[in-house]
Amino acid sequence: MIGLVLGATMALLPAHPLGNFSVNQLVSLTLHPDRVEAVAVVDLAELPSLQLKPACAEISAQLTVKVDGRPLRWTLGSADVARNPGAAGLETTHVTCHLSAPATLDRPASLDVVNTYLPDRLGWHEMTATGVGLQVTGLPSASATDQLRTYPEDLLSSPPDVRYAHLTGQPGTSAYAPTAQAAGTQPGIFARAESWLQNTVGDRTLTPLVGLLAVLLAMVLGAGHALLPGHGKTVMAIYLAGRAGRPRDALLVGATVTATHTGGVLALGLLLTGASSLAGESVLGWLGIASGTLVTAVGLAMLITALRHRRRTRHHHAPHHHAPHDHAVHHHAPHDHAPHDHAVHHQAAHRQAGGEHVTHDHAAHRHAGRPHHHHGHFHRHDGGGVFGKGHRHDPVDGGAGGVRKRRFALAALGIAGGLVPSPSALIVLLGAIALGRTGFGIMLVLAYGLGMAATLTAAGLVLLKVRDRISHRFQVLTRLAPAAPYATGALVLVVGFGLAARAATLVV
Amino acid sequence: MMKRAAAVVLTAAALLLLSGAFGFKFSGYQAQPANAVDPLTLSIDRAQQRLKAVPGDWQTWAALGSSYVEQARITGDPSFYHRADAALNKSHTLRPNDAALTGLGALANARHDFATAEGLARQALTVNPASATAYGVLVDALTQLGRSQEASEAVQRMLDLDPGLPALSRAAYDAEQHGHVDESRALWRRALADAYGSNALFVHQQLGDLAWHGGDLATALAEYRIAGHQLGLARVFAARGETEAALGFYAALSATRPSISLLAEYATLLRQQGRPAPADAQLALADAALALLAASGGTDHLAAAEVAIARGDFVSAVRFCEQEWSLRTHSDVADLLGWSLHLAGQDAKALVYAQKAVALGTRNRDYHAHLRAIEESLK
Repeated sequence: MIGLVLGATMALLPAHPLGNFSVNQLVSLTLHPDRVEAVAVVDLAELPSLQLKPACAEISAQLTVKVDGRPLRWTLGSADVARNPGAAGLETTHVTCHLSAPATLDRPASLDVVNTYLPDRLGWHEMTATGVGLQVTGLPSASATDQLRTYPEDLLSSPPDVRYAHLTGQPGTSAYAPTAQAAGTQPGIFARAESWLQNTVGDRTLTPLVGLLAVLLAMVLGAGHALLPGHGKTVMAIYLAGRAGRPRDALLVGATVTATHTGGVLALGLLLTGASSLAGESVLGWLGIASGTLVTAVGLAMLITALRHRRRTRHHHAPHHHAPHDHAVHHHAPHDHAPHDHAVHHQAAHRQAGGEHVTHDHAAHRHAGRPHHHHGHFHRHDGGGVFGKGHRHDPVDGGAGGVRKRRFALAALGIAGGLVPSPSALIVLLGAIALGRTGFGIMLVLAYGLGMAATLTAAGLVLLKVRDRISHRFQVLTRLAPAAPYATGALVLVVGFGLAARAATLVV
Repeated sequence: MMKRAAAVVLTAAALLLLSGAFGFKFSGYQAQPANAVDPLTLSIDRAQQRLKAVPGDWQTWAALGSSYVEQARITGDPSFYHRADAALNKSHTLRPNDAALTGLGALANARHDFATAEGLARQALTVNPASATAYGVLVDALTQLGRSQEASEAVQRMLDLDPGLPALSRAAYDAEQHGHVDESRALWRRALADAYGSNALFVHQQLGDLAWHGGDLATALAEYRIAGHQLGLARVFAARGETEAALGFYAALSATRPSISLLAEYATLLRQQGRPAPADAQLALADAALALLAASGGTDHLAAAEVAIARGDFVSAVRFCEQEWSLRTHSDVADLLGWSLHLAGQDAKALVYAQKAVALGTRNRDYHAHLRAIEESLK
């Protein structure tokens, strides 16, 4: 019964996609250094085609373009009137007018465009603008309708009603290429898995097996989501590589990601359920900004501590070509002696009395409280590694206060990673809430978070392994070791700013 | 010192590069003039935003589809029917629900498919017996089908469920149908208290119609002016003999909202003014509109009858009205069938329908004028 009824309504489609009495208009401007060219297109549905015979003279008279306040005078070029078969044996009319007017656009200019042709007629009103040897901003460069031949059937946007526009033009080739949208496109298999999950939540019958499958799939999707850019993986990598990162650090990041993501999605889900006026996209944008800002703050903190520490320890960097037996060399110098010496000397130094350490300034503040903490991994000493990882000078590495700071930094990175929710998790949760399956939805969101955490933790662990494997092969880089804290700090800062900036484009 | 400076410079340079690479949007273009005042536009905007974030939200799909039906009714832009249809079917496909059924029912009413609308409303009420909106669709369908007793009962249930503007406006129309003009006016006034934006304009238009049907041209003119209702203004000016002003309004409407009834009305006035050529042009347009309606699977025999009367083809008018009467027995149909029969010279038969048109007690001035004319010619 329902099917029959729905089928009957489906058949009642209007002849013209925008209605039998629509008059649809497009103005496409092309700005040249010496002139403005316009293509004015008018597409008349069946009834207006019986009422009107649009002439390019009338159309151009109603198209006003002012360059820096002075109106242009159009010269009519070619005109084309096509009559196309419409519904009920009637015709539609497609009129194309080519107009041109001299204009001085070899310097920065501002343009105002107003279309007042048949203002009362319903229909699609579109404008576009491009430049040849000019950079133009203010309008999209391409028509969404192939010059009013095909109309996009987007249920989620009303037909455009652009009758005026303000443009700026300046000499130069157009650097304003439409940038690719922020990450969000996933491989086809992910998209299909996501839609399966969303449909599963909406299914009226939900067997335990399907439910289990859904949870597993949610974990896989979460893992996949964490692979997309924008989750501070780069930052974590830099941080762990540049610092004396350990496996439990990677775990800490993973746990924080899960907690933040789950909590964040749940909070956002409740917020969106409560207030439908809240636009999801802008909320995601703001969260992205928060995430980026957090990372930036971590980078800033790293830089500041590095700079402060440098001031305190500068004198230790002086004795770079001391005798191999000087302990200070092992910890501060760019390690230009042979690696085999290193291990030997290091162990030897260790076997000596702790007093030896204490006599060194650096040892006094480095090793205070936990004298042998860093020496548990003596292999880190052989070579210094990429960016001098394992360098004992890490200010946040030493002492109880340093450990706390470093935990904060790692937790901050974890929060930054989990703060931007997976849109798919959000949809699943909202769907579940709407259907009264809130518990199931929360379970799925938790699974997403676990999946994300698994990816990020695994990435961290792999990174640590790789670092330890290859570090001794890059001894040249050890020369850069003293600059490493600044470099890592600066890099984290830059990436954080980049994340925030990209997110900002969603909000602006 | 050098390294520190270098680090700062490098960071600054990288930040600058990044802000370029991430492509800040310094200027956007306004695709839609924001109209935040009108509640309907606002709810459509919100629903569209929401569905971009949550495409599986069948409740919002249903709400959006129903808003599109409203939008089509208010703007007269039929392209919204197509959108409404797609959005409501999307909702129903995601999950069968009463809101989607109700919206489809409202759409069927808007397309004059009242029997379908009744069926859909009843299905929606089976799912959700407390849906005032579904009762609204049911009331409209029953009223148009001429089942006024059932309609009145449904209005009462709707008022009990939610005594807001939708229920009040149905109650007001029901009261008018039964000749309770004062009660109807009071109900519209009550509805006006809570209405704003396009809803308030709608109520003023209805108050104008109420005055117009009672022959109170001054009140009708005032209300139509507030509502900006061009068709109402055209009728009032024509009735007051200000023909040029009336023709101006008709011409504007013919250009922008060429509905079949309007074209027939316009042609009739042109013909009365001795301008047969432009009248024929409007009738040709009306024929095209009827053909388009038929091609899209719709029918409106009553509008076809109006066109036939405007052309002077009374026999066809009778046939169209009889076809409509076989589908629904609303007083509008009874009145036009009676009038067509009178014009076709069948006054005895005409009297039956003219009496049916006023049987509920309506005080509609035109119906009574038609009835008097028929009685006169029978003497």
